[in-house]
Amino acid sequence: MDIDSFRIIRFATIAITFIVSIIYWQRYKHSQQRYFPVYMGFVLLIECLATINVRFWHSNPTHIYLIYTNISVLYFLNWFKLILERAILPLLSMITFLVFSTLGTISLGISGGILHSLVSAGSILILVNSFAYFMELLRSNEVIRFLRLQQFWIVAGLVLFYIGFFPVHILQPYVSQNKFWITLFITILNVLQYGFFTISFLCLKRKS
Amino acid sequence: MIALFVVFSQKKNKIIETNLLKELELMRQRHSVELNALRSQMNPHFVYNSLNAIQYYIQRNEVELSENYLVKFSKLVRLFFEFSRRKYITITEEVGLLEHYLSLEKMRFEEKLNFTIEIDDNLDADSLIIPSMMLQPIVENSVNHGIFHKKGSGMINVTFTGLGNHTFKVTIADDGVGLRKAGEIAAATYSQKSKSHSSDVLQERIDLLNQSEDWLVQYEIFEREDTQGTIVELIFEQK
Repeated sequence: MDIDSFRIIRFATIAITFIVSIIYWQRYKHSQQRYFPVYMGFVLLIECLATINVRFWHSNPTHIYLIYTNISVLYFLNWFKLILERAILPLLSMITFLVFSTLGTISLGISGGILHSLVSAGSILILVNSFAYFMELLRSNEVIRFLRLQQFWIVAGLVLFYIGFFPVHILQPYVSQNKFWITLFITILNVLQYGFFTISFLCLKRKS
Repeated sequence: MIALFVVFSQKKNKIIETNLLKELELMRQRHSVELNALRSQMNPHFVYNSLNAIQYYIQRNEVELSENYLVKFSKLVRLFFEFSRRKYITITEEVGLLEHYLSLEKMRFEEKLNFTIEIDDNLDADSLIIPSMMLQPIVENSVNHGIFHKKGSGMINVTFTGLGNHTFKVTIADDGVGLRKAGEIAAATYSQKSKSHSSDVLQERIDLLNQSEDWLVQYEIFEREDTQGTIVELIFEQK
């Protein structure tokens, strides 16, 4: 198995999640998760563009991942603003991230080290909001049916990914020689994350 | 991740347990309210019959008799109201209520009704308790559906027998027309509705008591074998 295979696995996982999100859209089109198919379509597009960039144009896809990080983090922070009772935390997180991203891009430029810092900031903000959601859920009666809550599975997927990804990301400059294992690990995290997202749609399936 | 699921599962189980306990408490309260309501159901036919009897004696100028009847009737009503407010009464109090009721009915039947109430020597009647207002409706059924339709005088025997360990049996035996005949008569007259209502109320009370954690009540009714008549047996076990 080589690094290209990991890209295929990631792509397949995202594609499956995207398809499932469309199939079950009728069940959650009135909920706060209604734009999820659009987000998954965006993720799939980013994955395609990054692959084309690397394979055919032989260039660094940093600017593509920069766009992805900005939109992805802001999408989830906005989603947290909709689902959390206390919207002040995700709102402050969004403002912080926007300010950080803007100032960073201006001072360091797109090709600079802004991506690394942006991903770190985004990871921390998403994790903080995820734990806020779990705390709220534990205090509410909805916890009785937590396994059938779409939001629970999405947030669990985010936590699973970022808790695993963040330390690897921080230590990346020191472990860059182990590219194969790092890519394998991140691929597994992606499969788990999008797998949880897929479960979040399947749990809406009516019991026969 | 596993820790996350464990935490959530534990919280879920805790909430389910709390909700179940709340539901159980509400059920207990509901049982209590229902039992209260059932206890306080005095048979309107009995009241009607008693007032009719008093009116009859007054019209016949039998002042002493009507006064006697009125005093006994008002005492009985007072006992009804007092006992129906309580969940349990002593066997002595229950016997007192039955004696009052049966002596009233004896007056109404113009002495054609006789009765005995016997208590086992093993039973401590002053301290042993029984759910209130259980036996009077059964005795009333014996009077109205057994003895009433019989030609000649009738006899009702109420016996309290100790079975040990907070358990005792109450037997109500009459030498009336018997279950089958009473059923035939009831089916042919308006009184069918009254009997089935009091039987329903009694059964409902027994079911509620058995659902509670305090009592186990067994109820049986059958034809007498030695002579014509009906026997009702209730076994009360206090848990």
